[in-house]
Amino acid sequence: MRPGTWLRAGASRVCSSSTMDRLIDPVLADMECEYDEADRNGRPHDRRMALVGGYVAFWKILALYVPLTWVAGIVSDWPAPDRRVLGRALRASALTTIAVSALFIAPPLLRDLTGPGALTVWMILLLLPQSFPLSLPVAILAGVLYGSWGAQLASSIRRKIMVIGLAGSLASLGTMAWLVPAANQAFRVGVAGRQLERGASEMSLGSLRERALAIRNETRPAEKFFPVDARSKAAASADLLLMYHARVALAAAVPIFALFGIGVMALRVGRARTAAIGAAACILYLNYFFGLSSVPVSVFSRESVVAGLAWLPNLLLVLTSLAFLSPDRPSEPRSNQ
Amino acid sequence: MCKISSMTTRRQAVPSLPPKEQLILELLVHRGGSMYGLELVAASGRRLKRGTVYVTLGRMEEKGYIVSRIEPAPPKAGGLPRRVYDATPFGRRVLAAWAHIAQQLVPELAR
Repeated sequence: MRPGTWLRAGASRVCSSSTMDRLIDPVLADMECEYDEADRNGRPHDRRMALVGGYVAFWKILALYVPLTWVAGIVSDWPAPDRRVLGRALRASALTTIAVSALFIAPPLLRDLTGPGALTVWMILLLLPQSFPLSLPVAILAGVLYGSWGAQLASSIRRKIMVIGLAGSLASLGTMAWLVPAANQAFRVGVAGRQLERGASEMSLGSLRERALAIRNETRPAEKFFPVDARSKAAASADLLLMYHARVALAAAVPIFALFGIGVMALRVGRARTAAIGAAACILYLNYFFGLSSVPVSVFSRESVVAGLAWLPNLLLVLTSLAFLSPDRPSEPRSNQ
Repeated sequence: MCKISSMTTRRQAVPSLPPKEQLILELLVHRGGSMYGLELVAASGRRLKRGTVYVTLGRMEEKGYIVSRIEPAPPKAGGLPRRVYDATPFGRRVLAAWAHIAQQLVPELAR
């Protein structure tokens, strides 16, 4: 069997014929040609290098460019007004993500710059994932408000905004479940210069919940005689459960903020008021989550109450958005303030 | 308003030539004749990468700067046919115009 036969068969299942013709086949043809030439000349090292170079090029194209051609194919089918609105929205979202991320990573950076360990570019990059789940809801709201300003938000655009919001939610959940704990731990170890035990912020979503339930259900013989320990155990468990539910609620906030943006646009209250409503919602929402860490959740013994605390702002935002979108609400004339 | 929109349309119609596309056109024009993607990578002195060269070539073909054709594999080889690339007359004109602009604006570039 010739090198690349399996790769080509696999790629042909996921790529269009034009992608196969223009991107995949030329790369594999080059690899075959280089391989054959090295084989004819009796150079095994060059033969291996031809395979490695060809495989790297193949996977690079498959991972980077094929998804882009899919997205480009989908986007090219959209009507021109939808493309214009969503293009503006995505640009505004990207800029907001950068700005908000910079705001969030500045305090730990400034704090640790004065510490004993020198910060490297790698360590600064490790801080980025933790800002992503916080900046994404703000970014999508800014994108919707800026992108759709002056345009009619037709139901086709609303659907696309919600799909983008759901995709952002999945990305945020994945970031919080695995990327943030790993990056946090690597950052702490990098700053301390030695191995450290993982804290609650360095646990994946699954292990956070597992640890919370384990603490609550744990019964050691000594604790039967000291009921005070049971209360501190409940507090520790409730803290971890709150962190778990807050992370999931933050991930779910991305499509909820998209919906809120659509609702605010339906109000038609002028540019300044729209921006003010958006800014107020973001500030209140993020402050609520930062304030949650100081709430004495240990007084709540039931997990449903702790979950309710974490999900409360999402619920309020959904209800507010639905009220804004209600057809019975009298609309105000739009003014450019 | 009309004037602004017509200016925007005219500005979009001007062909662009990013550095990698310029390099590919230079190689195809100055070396004369058709080249394979891998040949372009080798001739570029590592400025083109084999993982990205075909994406750039595809984009240039869409712009009309180059054309490609399939070159059948030798009968005994039995492998995939290779694709070879040539500059179009339009691509040559764009390259010449770009070189002229660069010479006018930054004389040091033309040396």
